[in-house]
Amino acid sequence: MTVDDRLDLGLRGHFQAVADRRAPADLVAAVVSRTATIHVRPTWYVALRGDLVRPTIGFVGRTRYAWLALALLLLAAFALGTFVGGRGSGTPFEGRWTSMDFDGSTQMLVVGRGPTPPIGYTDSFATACQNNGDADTSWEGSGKGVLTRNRLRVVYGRGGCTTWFVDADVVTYDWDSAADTLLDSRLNTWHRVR
Amino acid sequence: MLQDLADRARGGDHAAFAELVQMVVGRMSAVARLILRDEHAAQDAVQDALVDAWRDIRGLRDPERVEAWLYRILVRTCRDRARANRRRALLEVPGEVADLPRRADAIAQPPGWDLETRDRLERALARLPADQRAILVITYYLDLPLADGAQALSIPIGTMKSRLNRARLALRAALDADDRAGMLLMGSAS
Repeated sequence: MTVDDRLDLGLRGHFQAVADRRAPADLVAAVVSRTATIHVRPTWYVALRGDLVRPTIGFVGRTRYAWLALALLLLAAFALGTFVGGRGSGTPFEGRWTSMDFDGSTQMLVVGRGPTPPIGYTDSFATACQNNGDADTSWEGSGKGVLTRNRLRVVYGRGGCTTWFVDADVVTYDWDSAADTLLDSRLNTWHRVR
Repeated sequence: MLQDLADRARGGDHAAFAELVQMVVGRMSAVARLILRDEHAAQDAVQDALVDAWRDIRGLRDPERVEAWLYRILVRTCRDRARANRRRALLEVPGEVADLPRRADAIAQPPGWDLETRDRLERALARLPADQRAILVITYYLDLPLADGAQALSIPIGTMKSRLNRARLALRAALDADDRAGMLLMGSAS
């Protein structure tokens, strides 16, 4: 038996010997109680974040090819759309946007189609919820936008985390056509998610 | 059983998720303790990881692999927590043996691995950064195949191999350092 073999075997045995698999009695209750009030994130949001969700475990290569195939498919669809009818009734605001909040968290914005698009907004960590004692710090909100030239004015309905909410709020987003970015009235710069 | 619960939880069934938590929380706690070596930090990490798992349950594409998926979230949570607490960890007494339960009975150990050897191993493990402990725990405690371990750490397999190798070398170096310290102590005592 080599030194490495002894170390491997020793580590295995050691971890098995010292591993304490007892969970504190209140841990399960705490998890169940916390999760009972937390919304499950929508699939598209989880997929966009990507970091928790590499598809199947153990098939890195296959996954990479699947993503590549999807990207090519989207590219083809985009090219076809450009040739056939340009943006059609789409607006420059339409699509998914992301920005980094001042506290470092990731914000997502989804703008629907048309001159009065439906809007979805999420913030992965809302400091306001934390400051107001909400155990959940994932902010979700939705609203309705009104488009005038390069400005989108969005009236958000009641939004917040789980126990702490704010009532209606208005945010404007200005589109910079050169950079294809949005600058909102809270001075966040949004980048398009392609 | 786990797969069925994961499948139901993915559909938003919170009761199924609660049952799933009951089944995995013990092993997750053990993993977090081995990586973080701090009971409170480990319990916090397990709790946060399970809350994250519920929040992102729709990202679980393969319910058959729910346990590996949970470990992945847990390892990342432990790593983040260890990084955040690095400053505090540096202030702790190095080489102190954690108060871990010992179940030496019926455990396969190489010949000559007595309690003293295991204490040395504990001290050496304590000297490693949490990232390296995580790799060793994934490989030698969870026994995850290399590809699954790489997925758990969100790194390519090649990187996993080289980091595992580095972690083993670091452990051996820490064991050697412990030997030297022991000899120095013996020398100064005589």
